[in-house]
Amino acid sequence: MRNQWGKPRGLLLVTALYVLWSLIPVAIAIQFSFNAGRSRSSWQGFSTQWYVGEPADQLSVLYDPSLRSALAQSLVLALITMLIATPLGVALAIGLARWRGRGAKSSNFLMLFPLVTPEIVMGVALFLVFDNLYDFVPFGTVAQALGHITFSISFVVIIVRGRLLAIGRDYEEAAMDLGASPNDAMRRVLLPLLTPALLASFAIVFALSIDDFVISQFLLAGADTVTIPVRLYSGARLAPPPSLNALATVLMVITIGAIVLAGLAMKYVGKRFGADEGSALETVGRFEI
Amino acid sequence: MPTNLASGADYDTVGQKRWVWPAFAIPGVVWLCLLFLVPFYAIFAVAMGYIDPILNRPVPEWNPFYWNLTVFAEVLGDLFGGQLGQIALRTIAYVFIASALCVVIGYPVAYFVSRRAGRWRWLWLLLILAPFWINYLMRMMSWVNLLSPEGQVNQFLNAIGIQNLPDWLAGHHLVVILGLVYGYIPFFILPLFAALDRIDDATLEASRDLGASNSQTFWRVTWPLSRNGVLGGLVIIMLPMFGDYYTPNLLSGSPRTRMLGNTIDQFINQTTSQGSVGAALTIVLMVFVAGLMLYYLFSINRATEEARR
Amino acid sequence: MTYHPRQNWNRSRRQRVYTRRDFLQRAALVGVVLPLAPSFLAACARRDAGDGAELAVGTPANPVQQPLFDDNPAIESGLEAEAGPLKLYNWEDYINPEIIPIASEALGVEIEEATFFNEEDALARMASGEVQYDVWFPTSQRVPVAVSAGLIQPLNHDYLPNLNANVWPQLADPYYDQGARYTAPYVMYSTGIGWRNDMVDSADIEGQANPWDVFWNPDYAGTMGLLDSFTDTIAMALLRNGVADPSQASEAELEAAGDALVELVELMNVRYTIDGAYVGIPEGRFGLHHAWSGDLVNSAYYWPGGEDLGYARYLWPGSAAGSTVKGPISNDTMAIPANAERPVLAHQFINFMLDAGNALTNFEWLGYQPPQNDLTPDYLIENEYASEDLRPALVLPEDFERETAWVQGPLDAATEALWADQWTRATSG
Repeated sequence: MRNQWGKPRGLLLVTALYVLWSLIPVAIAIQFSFNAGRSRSSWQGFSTQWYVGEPADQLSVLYDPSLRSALAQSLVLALITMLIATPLGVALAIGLARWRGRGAKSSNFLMLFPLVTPEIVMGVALFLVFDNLYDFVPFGTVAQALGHITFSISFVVIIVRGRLLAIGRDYEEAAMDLGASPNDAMRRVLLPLLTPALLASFAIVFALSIDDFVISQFLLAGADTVTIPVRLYSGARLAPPPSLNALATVLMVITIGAIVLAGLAMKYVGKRFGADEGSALETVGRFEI
Repeated sequence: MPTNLASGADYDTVGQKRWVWPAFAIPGVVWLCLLFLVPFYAIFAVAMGYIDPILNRPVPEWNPFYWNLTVFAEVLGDLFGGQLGQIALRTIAYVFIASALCVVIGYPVAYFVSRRAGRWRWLWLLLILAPFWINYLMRMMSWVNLLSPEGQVNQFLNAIGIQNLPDWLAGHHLVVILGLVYGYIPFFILPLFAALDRIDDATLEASRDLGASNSQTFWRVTWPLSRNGVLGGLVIIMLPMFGDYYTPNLLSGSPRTRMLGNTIDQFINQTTSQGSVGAALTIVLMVFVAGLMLYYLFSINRATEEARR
Repeated sequence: MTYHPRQNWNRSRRQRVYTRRDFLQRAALVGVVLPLAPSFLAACARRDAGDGAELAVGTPANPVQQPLFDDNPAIESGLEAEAGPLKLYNWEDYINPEIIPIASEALGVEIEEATFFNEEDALARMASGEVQYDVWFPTSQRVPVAVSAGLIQPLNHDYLPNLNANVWPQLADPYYDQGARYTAPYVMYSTGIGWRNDMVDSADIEGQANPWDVFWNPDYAGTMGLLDSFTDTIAMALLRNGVADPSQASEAELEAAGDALVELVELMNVRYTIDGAYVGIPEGRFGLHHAWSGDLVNSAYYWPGGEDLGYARYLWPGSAAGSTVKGPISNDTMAIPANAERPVLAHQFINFMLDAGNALTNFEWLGYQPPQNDLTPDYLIENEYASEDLRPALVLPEDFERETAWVQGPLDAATEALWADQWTRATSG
C-alpha cells in the first residue's frame, strides 16, 4: 500500500542472516542432544537416550547424578526465590507507589540499584558478606537463594508498579464510596486487580532465578549445589557427552514455559488496563542476562 | 461511611493510615539494606581491610577511619603501567569493539523488524526475541561445540578445501569479541526495537512530504529519534560485558584474552587469600562502569516517574 | 564474622601478635555477639595488623612436634562411641563414594559428608566456629596453622592401632607432626609432568637434567597446560629456575619465575586448567600438562571410548634419573576438629580408613595413594590398580627423604601476596 520507502531487500537480508546466525548454533546444540552416538559433532541417528537413558549407565539427564542434581538444584532455587521474592516485591511496589513521605525517594533508588549493578559486582559483594560478616549463612542453597531473591525483588517491583499505576486509585475509592473500609478496599479490590501482575511476577522471577549463572557460581558450596548454568559452564570445555546438551535443552524448555506464562499474564493485564505492551515486553526481556 | 476520608494529616486520599504504605515497603527495604547495601559496603571493607597473618586471609575493616589503603594503592599502581593496566585496556578494547559491532549489526535488524517487516512482523519479532529465552551459557556452549577442533565449523571448512585450521578456542581475540557480540546483541536490539517502534509513522511521512529523501529522513528524523534507544541498548550490554569472565573462559581460556572479570573471578573464587585484591579490582570495575550505571539508574527512574504522572 | 585484632590494642602498644588464645576468643565471640557488633567494639582504637605468629613448621630434614595445649586435650581412652551421624569435611570428590556405606556399616552410624573447593575457605569456616564436623582432611602444610589456631584436637593413639601397624614409618611419624600428635596421613601426591607419548617425545622429558624445561619447549606450543593453582605453578617455575626452597624465594627470584611464566603466553600459548591432566590428556586436548601424580592414575578412566590407550606418562623431577631439579611432594591428613561432637567415632573412622583393605578400596576410585605398608607400587601394579607405564606416579616411602624432594610449607601473608602478584602477571598475558 504505502511502499514509498522502497523495498527493504538489504535490510531483509541482514535481518535474515542475523536470525540464522543467532539461532542455528543453538538449533545444532539441541539437535545433538538427540544424537544416538556420543559425539556432539557427527550425527548418528535419533535417540532420547541422553534424556532418559538406562538408569544403570548413569549417562542421561535423568540418571547422571551430576546432571540430575543440577536440575534439582536449579528448580529448588527457582521455587524458593519465586515464593519469597514475589511477596516481598509486591509489598514493596505497593508501598513505593503510594508512600509519599520522607524516605520514599531514597527507598526507590535503593530498589533500582540492583537492576543497574553488574552481576559480578553483586556476586563479589554477596560472597564477601557471607564469607566475612554473615558467616552463619552457609554457602550453597541458602546463600544462593538469598542472592537470587535480592536481585529478583526489583523486577517484581517494576512489573507490579507498572500495573498499580495503570489501575490507579479509582476502583478503591469507588469501593470506599460504597462503604468498604480502606483495608477491605485493598484486600477485596486492589489485590484481585493485581493478580495477573502477581502471576507474571512469579513466572519472571522463576525464569530469572533458573537462568542465573554468576550469583549461583559465586555462592556455590560443593558439587551438590551446582545449578544447570554452572554445570554448563564447567562442563562445556570438557568434551562432554550430548547429555550436557540435553540438560541445556531442558533448561531452555523450562525457561520458555515460564516466560510464556508471564507473557500471557501480562497480556491479560494489558488488555484490561490498556498498558503499553511494548514496555511490558521490555521489562520481561531486558535483564535476562 | 468513610467519614475520615481526606481529612486529617493521619490519612491519605484513599483513607488509609499514613504509616500503612511505608509499612508495606519496609520488609523489602530492610531486605535490600541487609543483602544489597551491606554487601556492597563489604567490598570496600575487604578492599581496605587487613590480612589475618595466621589464616592468611583478608579481614574486613568496617570502620572507614581505619581503612588500610595498601592493597588498593598497589592495585592502582599496577593499573597504571602494570599488568593490570594491560588487562584493563584489553577489557575496554573488547567491550568497545563488541559494542560497536552490536550497533552495526543490531541497528538494521531492529529497524527492519520495527518498521519494515510488513505482515510477518510478529514472526520476525519472535525470532529476534528467541535468544532471550535461551540461557547465555547454553548459547556459548553451542559455539564451543561448533568451534572445537572436530566441530562443525572445521568440518565445513575442511569440506570446502581449507586445511591447517587453527584451534579456534585457543586464545584468539576475534573469537572472544565475536562471542561477546553473539552473547549480548539481543539485549541491544530489544530496547532499540522499542524506541524505533514508538516513532510515529506520521512524523516520517511529514518529513517526506516536506521533500526529504529517504536517507535525509533517516538521518534527520529516524536516527535522532532512536538515539536514546541506541544509548539505552549500549548501556544494557556494556554493563555486563565489563564484568564478563565466562565468555573469554569458555571461548579461549588463554591468558591472552583475559578480561578484568577473569582476574576478579580468580582472586575471589580461587585464590581467596587474595580476596582484598579481588575486592579492590571490583571497585575499579565499578569506577569504569559508574557512568553507565548512573545513566541507566536515572533513565529508569525518569521512566517510572513519568509513568507515575 | 571477624575477630578484630585491635581489641587488645589499648592495653599494649606493642605490635600486635596473634596468639592461639585470640583464635579461641574469636571462636567464642562468633557464637555470642551479634554479627555486626565487633565492628563497633573498638572503634576508638588504632589498628596495626601484626605478624610474628609462631608456627611449628617442619621439613623432612628438620621435623617438628606440634605443641600440645592444656585446654585442648585428647579424649580419654576406652570411651563408648557416640551416636551418629558422623560428619566429614573433605575436599570435593576426595573419597570413594562406595567407601562411605561400608564405613557406615562398620561403625554402625550414618555418615554425612560436607565438601570444600578451597582450603583457605575451609580453614576460615573452621576458625569461625560456625561449623561443626568430626573429621577434617587438611593438607599437611595447613597442620601448623590448624594446631596454632586451636582448630584440631590431639589424637588418642589407643583408638588408632592401624596407624603404627599399617602406615609407612615415614608418615606414621611425619616430619610436619612428629609423633602424629594431631593428624593421621590420608593420601600422598607428587607434582610433576604428565604427557602423552604419542604427542610428546618422551626423550624431551625423561633423562633430562631439568625436566621442567619441557614446558618451555616450543615444539609443544598450543598443546601445553599448567595447573590453575597459583602455589603449585609459581613453585614449579621457581624449581625450574633452580631455586632450592621456593618458600624462601627472594623477591628477585619470584620476579624471575613470573617472567618465565609470562614468556609461556606467547611461546607456548599456555592454558591454565585443573582437569587438563586427567581429562585433557586422554582426550588429546593436551599433549603435556603440569600434573599431580594421582591425575595420571585417574586419567585411565577418561579415555574417549572407555578404553585406556596407554599413552599417558608421568614424571616426577624429584626422583627421575638424571634430574638435578627438585620436585614437590606432599600429603593430606585426617584430623579431628577441636569442636567435634563425636570424637570417639571420629577416631574409629580414621582407624577404619587406615585399614589396608579400606585404603585400597578408596585408592581404586581416588587414584591418590595411601601410605600403606602393604600397598606397594609392585602390589598395586600387579593387581592392576595402576599401570606399569605410570609407575612414576606412585609415591615411594623414601621419596619424602630425597635430596630432590621439596615440601611446601605455609607462606606468610606478605610472601603470599608476592606470589599472587606473579600469578596475576602469569595469567594476564
